[in-house]
Formats: sequence, structure tokens, C-alpha cells
Amino acid sequence: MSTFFKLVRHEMKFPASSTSFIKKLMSLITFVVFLGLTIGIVLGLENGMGNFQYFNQTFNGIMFVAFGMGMGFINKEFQKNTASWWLTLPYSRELLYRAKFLSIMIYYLYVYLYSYLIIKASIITAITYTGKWSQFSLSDVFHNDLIFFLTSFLGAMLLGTYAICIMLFTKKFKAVSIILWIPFGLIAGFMMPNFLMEMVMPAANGESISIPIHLLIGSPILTTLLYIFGVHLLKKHTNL
Amino acid sequence: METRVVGSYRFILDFSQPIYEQLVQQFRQMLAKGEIELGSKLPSVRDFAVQMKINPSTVVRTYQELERDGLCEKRRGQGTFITSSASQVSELRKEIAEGALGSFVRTLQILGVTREEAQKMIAEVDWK
Amino acid sequence: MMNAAIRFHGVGKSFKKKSVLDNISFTVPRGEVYGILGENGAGKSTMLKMMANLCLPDQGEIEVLGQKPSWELYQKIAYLSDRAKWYSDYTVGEALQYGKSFYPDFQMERAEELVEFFKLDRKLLGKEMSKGQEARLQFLLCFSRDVELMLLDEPFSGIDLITREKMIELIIESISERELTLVITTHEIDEVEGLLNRVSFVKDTKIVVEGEVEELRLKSGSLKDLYRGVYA
Repeated sequence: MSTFFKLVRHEMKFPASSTSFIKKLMSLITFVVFLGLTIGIVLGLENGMGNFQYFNQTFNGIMFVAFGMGMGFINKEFQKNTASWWLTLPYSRELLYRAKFLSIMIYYLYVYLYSYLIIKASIITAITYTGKWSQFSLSDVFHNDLIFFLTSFLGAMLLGTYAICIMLFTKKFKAVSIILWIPFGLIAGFMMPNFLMEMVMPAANGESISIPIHLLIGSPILTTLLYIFGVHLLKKHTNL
Repeated sequence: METRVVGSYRFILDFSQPIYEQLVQQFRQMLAKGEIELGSKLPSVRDFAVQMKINPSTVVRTYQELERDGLCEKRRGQGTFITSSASQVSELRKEIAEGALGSFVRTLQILGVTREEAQKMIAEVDWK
Repeated sequence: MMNAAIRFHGVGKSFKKKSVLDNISFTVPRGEVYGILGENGAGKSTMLKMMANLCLPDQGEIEVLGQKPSWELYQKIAYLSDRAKWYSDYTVGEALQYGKSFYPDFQMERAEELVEFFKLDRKLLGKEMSKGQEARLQFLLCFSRDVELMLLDEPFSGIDLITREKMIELIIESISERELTLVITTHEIDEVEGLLNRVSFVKDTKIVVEGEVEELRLKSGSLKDLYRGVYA
């Protein structure tokens, strides 16, 4: 096995003794989310809202989880004081970051697929419960899933890559890294309002939505600040 | 001052003086006093250093110093051994005694004690 | 000069405009045990981090094993941070596997011997370890490697007596058996009094005394006396 995959496996290591606790927690969360979503969709369908696609849209939100997880994974090394073991492994920093990045993505994919299954199961349960299969077909339920998957998962990959680039090159290419933040902010700027609108106005019925200007400007700024903070965190710890 | 024991040897270390000099000194005294068996094997550098809690290079230096004075010899692949020559040891004994005598005489000379007075003093000393 | 394991030349460093090290120059000869003594916050850790390429100097130059610090050096050096902890999800046995997986110079047989030496239980998890056990495991991982240079940051601080004695024993054994350069920062003199070849005392961003320990003893007494003289 190559060093890279050994590193990834090391990053993916979960506490053996606390697995049962995590499982319990996961099943509790699953139950609550499943119940909540189902009740929500049932009520929505009963009130004649008809459109449940906005639930799919919430997947875009998970994309930001990836960013959080990335920073979390790295910060964990410092919080638990294992960073000196990690950073002094006899491999290039780039390889170490890449391995961490891949492990974050694998973990993220796991979270993603997990939430996907819950959401889909909630929708199917809700339709069955309200007896509205005459109004929806199975293809409605899975409508646009691939596109959502691509936008959110690939989007997260993109964000992660930006994060890695910034981490790796901040010292040498300070100016470049600022330029890197701008497109990232713009992407986030377009995604986030969508995401927020869907959350705030679920009854929009798929009609064109006007995006409030403060969200358009606010979200890239917020995301950029998050990134600067993340990079600052890493730099502060490693002084490199 | 700290006492440290290595096998059958007992050393007193004073960290305000060079350690290797103290070790050489104490080895010489033990040897002259007949506390060390002739031809016996010295502890390995490693064991000596570990038990004394000192740097092995200090032990190497000590052994080298003893070797230079002909008090021990290194045998290839076997370790370092105390000299088996009794004449070497009696010479050492004489050397130490002469050293002590020299400083004794100098002290008395400073005090203005004459040879005759000194001899009388020695004769009167309780030698036990 | 090939005989230098580490060379600092006019090294300076500040954090947030507060100077931590100022114009530091010294050389650590190969195969020696070098002590950096000083009180907490004197900049000892920063010096070690610089040797380990975890911190860059603002001024001056550093040379480690004949080259500029870089990640490639991690193949030849082991660094143990003063705050380092072992991964809480790894058992002792898994830690050995970790060593074998990631350090090409890891000596598995030696590691197995050291598990016995340190009386560690192979099934013990990182999070279940006492401070002493954790120190033993981290020492084991460093000393199972066949490195040229070892950097130990405050290895004895807050560690129980038995573990400290075992650590010292392991250090002395290791330097008896092979050429190994050791740099140790500490403010506990008792432990290292007999161990160090050379020493430097750091105070207020500067090295105030530097030299061979046996020579310093002749000039100014024990390291403890010197320490009192410098810091009292």
C-alpha cells in the first residue's frame, strides 16, 4: 500500500471504543431528522404546497459542511496536540494535506449519502402517508438528483481544493491567494442565496425568485472571512 | 555530592568539578588501596554510563586516561581490563603516596617546621 | 564544517513585535548531547521548532545536518514537542504499526524491546494513558527510529520519577550504541547534569553562557550553580 493511502487510512481512523456511542447518536439523529422531515413534508403536502423539491436543494448546504469539516480535521490535530506528530512525518506537507483532504472528502461523501437516503426516505414516506402517489411519480422524487449531487459534491471538492491551494501557497503567493478567494466568494455568493431562499421560502413553487442584494454581497464576504480565518488558524499553529 | 554505585565500585560525584577527573582519581585510589582485583574486567562503557547516569563519552575519556597511565588495557572485542601487573599498581601506590608526602612537606615548610621536627612528629603520630 | 549537526547564525525571531530570540549563534557538534537551558518562555522551544522546520526565523540562517531545514530532514530527525500528545484512538500496538508504516527507518524489533522496557500494555489506548505512559510511548516511537538527530523539548517536565529514570537510561543506552546527536531543552538540571556534553543558557532572548560542560565545571562549578548565577 502506498504511503498516501496509508496516510488516508490513518486520517480515517475512528475511535474503536466510542463506535457504539457514535452509532447510538447517529441512530437518534436519524430518527429525529427522519420524523421531522416526514412530518414537515406531510404537512406541506396536506396544505397543498405540492412542491418538495426544496428539500433536495438543502443538499447544497451540506457543501459548506465540507469546509467546516476540513478546518475541523486540521484543527483537531492542534486541539489534541498531535500536530507535531502529523507535521513531522517524513513526507512533504503537500502529501500530508492531500491525504487529509481525501479523507475529509470520503467522510463527507459518507455524510452526504447518509443524508440523501434519509431525505429520500422521508419524501417517499410522506407521499405514501398522504396517499398522493397519484400526483407524484417516482421520477419526481429523484428528479434532478444527479445535478444536485454534482453541484454539491463537486462544489465541495472545489472548495476543498481552494482551501488546500490557499494553505499550501499562502506563504509564497499571498497576492495570488487573495485572487483565489474572489472566485470562491462569487461561487458561494450564487449558491448561498439559493440555498437560503429555499430554506426561507419553501412555498416558492419553483417560480423565479428575486435574490435580495444583501445576501448576494453578504455571503461572499462571510465565506471569504471564514476562509481567511481558517488559513490564519493554520498559519498561527504552524508558523509556516 | 552524590554517591553512585556501579557493580562493586562506589563513586562520589561532585558536579561542580569535571566528572572524568573525579572518576580517574577515584579509580586510582581504589586500585592503590587494593580494592580492585588485578586483571578484572571493567564494566562496559554502556553499563557504566547507564548506572552512573552520565554521558558515555565521559566514561570513554576516563578509560582512555587510565589506559594512558597503564592502569588498564583494552582487549579487542572483549572490553577493558584492569592491569594485571602488580608492579604497575605498587608504582601507582608509591606515586600517590609521594604526591601526598609532597603536599605534606610543602605545608610544613610554609609553617616553618624543620625536617627534624617533622620526623619527630611522624614518629609520635598514632598510626592506627 | 561537516562536524556540525546544527548551526545557528545570527538568528532572530519575534512574535507580534515582541522579540523572542535575538541574534542567536551557536553550533551543536555531531554526536553530542546538547542542552538548551533556561526558564519557561525564554525561547528554548522556538529554537527547537526552528531546527524541526516548524518555525521560520525572521533573521539569520539555520543549518541542520548540513542543509536548510525542510521536510526532507524529517527522514533523519525525530522531534518531540513539549506539548505533544499521542493519538487518543491508537493503542500501543497500533502505535508500533503507525511507526512501521510511516517511518522508513523504524526498527520494529527495537520497538518491541522498548515496549517491554517501558512496561507498556499493547492494548492500552492513547486516551487511557497516564502522563507517564504517554511520555513512555512517545519516547519509544522516537527511539525506535534510526535517526541522526533527536530534538526533545522539555521531555522530563511533569513526568513521574520512574519514567524519568527510564527515559534517561534509554537516552544513555542509545548514545552508547550509535552516533546520535541530541538536543534537549529543559529547566530541570538534576536530570541532565551528568548527561550533557555542551550547554547553552538562554535568557531574555539571548544566549548568556555557552560551552563544554566539563570546562564550565572547572570555571564556574556545577550547572546548577551556573543556573542560579544566571537566573537568580
